Amino acid sequence: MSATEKLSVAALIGVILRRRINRTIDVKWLVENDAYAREIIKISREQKLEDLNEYADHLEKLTFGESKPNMAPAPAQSMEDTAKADIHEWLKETEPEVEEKEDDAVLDASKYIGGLR
Amino acid sequence: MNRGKNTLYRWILVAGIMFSATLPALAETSLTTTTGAVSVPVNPSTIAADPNAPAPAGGPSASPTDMSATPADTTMSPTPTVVAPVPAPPTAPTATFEVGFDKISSGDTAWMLTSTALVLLMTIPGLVLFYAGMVRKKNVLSTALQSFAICCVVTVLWVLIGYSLAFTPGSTPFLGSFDRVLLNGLSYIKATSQLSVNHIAPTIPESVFIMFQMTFAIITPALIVGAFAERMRFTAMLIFMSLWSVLVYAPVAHWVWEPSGLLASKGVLDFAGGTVVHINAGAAGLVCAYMLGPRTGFGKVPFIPYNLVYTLVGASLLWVGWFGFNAGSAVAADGRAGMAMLVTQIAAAVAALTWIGIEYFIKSRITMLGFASGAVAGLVAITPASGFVNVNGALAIGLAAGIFCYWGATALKRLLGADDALDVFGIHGIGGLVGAILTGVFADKAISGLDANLMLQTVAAFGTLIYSAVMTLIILTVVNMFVGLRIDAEEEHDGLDLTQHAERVM
Repeated sequence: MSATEKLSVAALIGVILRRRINRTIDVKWLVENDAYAREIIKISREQKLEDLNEYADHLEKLTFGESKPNMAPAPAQSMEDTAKADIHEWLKETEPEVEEKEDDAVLDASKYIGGLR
Repeated sequence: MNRGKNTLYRWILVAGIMFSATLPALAETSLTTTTGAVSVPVNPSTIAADPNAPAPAGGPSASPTDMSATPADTTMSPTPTVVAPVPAPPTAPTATFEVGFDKISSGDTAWMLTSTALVLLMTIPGLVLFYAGMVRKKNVLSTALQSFAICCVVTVLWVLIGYSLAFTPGSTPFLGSFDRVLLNGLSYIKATSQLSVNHIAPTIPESVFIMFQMTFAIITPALIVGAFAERMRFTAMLIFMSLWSVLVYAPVAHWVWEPSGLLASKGVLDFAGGTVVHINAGAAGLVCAYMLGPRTGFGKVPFIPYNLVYTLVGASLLWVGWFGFNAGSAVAADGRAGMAMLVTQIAAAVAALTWIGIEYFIKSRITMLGFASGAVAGLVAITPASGFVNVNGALAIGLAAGIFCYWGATALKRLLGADDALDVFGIHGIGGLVGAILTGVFADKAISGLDANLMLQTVAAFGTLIYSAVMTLIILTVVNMFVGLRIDAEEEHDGLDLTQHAERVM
C-alpha cells in the first residue's frame, strides 16, 4: 500500500467534496483512521459523482484492500486509537481553524501536479 | 525512461546541427575580435591579471570608472612594508608566480575572503534550504545532504586536480595543465616574505583565489541536484558529480576564465559565471532529468513541497551570497565590484516583480515560490553581465529574466517533457542563456572598456550548453552501467531519506 498514493487520493476526495458540496474534511485523519475513512467513502458514494466514486473506490482499495460491495463494520479499535479519535474530534470542535488550514492545503495540492511553478 | 532518452537524443541532435551551423560565424567573429590591438581577455579576473599591461578595463587599477584607485594605487590599501618589494615581472605573467607580501592588497584580499564565505554560504546552507523546502517530506534530508556532500567531494577534487585544470595555461586552449596538481607550487613563505599569486588575480594570495574559485566549483554541480531530486541513488550521485566536476566544470571554467582558454581568448564575456555555472548546470540538469526519467506519479499526483519557508530562506541566502558571487568576481575591492553589486540587486528585484506580475496575469495569484523563483532568475541572468552593464542594462536583463525563466519553468518544461524536478534548466539554463546573450547587447564600454559581440556570446552560450549536455550524457551512461542511477520503485515510494540514509524528518 502506498502511503503517498493514499494521501494523494484522500486529498483529491477532499478537494471534490469541498467544491461540489461545500463539505470540508480532515485529509490527514482520513488517511490515518479507518473509521473516518469508511464514513467519508460512504459520503462520497452518496454524491453519485463519477470521479468521486472512482476516488472513493481507490481509497477503499488502498485502505482496506480489494473493494467490498458492503463494507464490513469497523473493527474494534484499541483504546489508544479510540483516545486519539476522541481527542481529534474534540480538537475539531474546539479549533475549527485547524481544519480550515488543512483544507487550504488540500485546495492548493492540485497545483503541484506536474510541476511546482 | 526510454522515451525520455529518445527525446533527449533528439534535442541533442537538433542542438548539434544548430551549433555546427553557427561555427563559421564564430570563426569570423573571433577573427575580428582578435585583430584589434589587444586580444581581449574577458573574465574580470583575467582583466585584473596583468598589473603592468595597459589593461583595457577592470581590475584594481585599470577600470575607467574606478574612482577609488589612483594610477599608482595598484593595491588600494597597501599593507605595511615588511621587506624590500620584489621587482615586478618584466612581461605580463601568464602563469602563477611569487610576489612579496607588499604586492598584496589588503583591501582586495579582505573583500575576496568575504566573497568566498558569501559564495560558500550560497551552497551551504542557501541551496540546501532552497531545494529541501521544495521536495516532499520523505526526501528532504536526502536532498539537503546531496548539496552538503558535493561540497565535501568537490573541495577535495578541486585541490587534487580541478584548480590545475581550470586555472593554469595548458598546451591547448581546451584544458589547463597538470602543473598545480595537489596545489603543487602554492607557497607562503614567512621567512622571505613571499607568496604565490595567480596571474589572473595578482593582488590577492593564491590561496584566497583557489578558495574563491573552489566555491564556484562547489555550487555548480550542487545546482544540478534539483533536476534529479527524489530519485537518484546516492552513490551514483557522488560518482557522477566527481566525474562531472573534473570532466565538465574544470574544462569549461578554463575555456571562459583562463586568459588562454578557448572562449576567453576569443573575447567572450562572462563576468561571474553565466556560462560556466548556470548554462553548464542547467544543461546537465536537463540531461539528468531525461536520463533518470520522471518520478513515479509525476503529472498524476501532487508532489507537495515540504516547507516553502525553507525555500524562501534559501533564496534569501542565495541573494545575499550572490553579492560575493558577482561583486567578488571583480577580484578587487573597487568601483567595478560596486557596480556589479548594484546591478545584481536591481536585476533580482526586477525579475522577481516581473515573474509575479506574469503569475498574477495568468493565474490570478501571487505566490511566495514565484517571488523566490523570479529573484533567483534575475540573479542568474545578471551573473555574466554584472561587471559589464549599467543600471539600464540591469533593468532590461531583470525584465527579460522574469519573462523567459517563467516560460522556462512552465511552458518550456511541459514542451521538453522532462521531470526537471526543481526547474534547474528552466531557471539556471534559460536564465544563463538570457544573461549570456544579453551581455552582448547591453555591455557598456564605459564600465569595462570592452566591446561585446552578440554573435560570439550566443555561440559560446550554446556551445557550452551542448558540450555540457553531451558530456553529462556520457558520464551518466557510464555511471549507470556500473552502479545504476535510479533507486527502485519501492525505495522511491518509501523516500530517499529512509532508504538511502536510514533517517527521516519527524
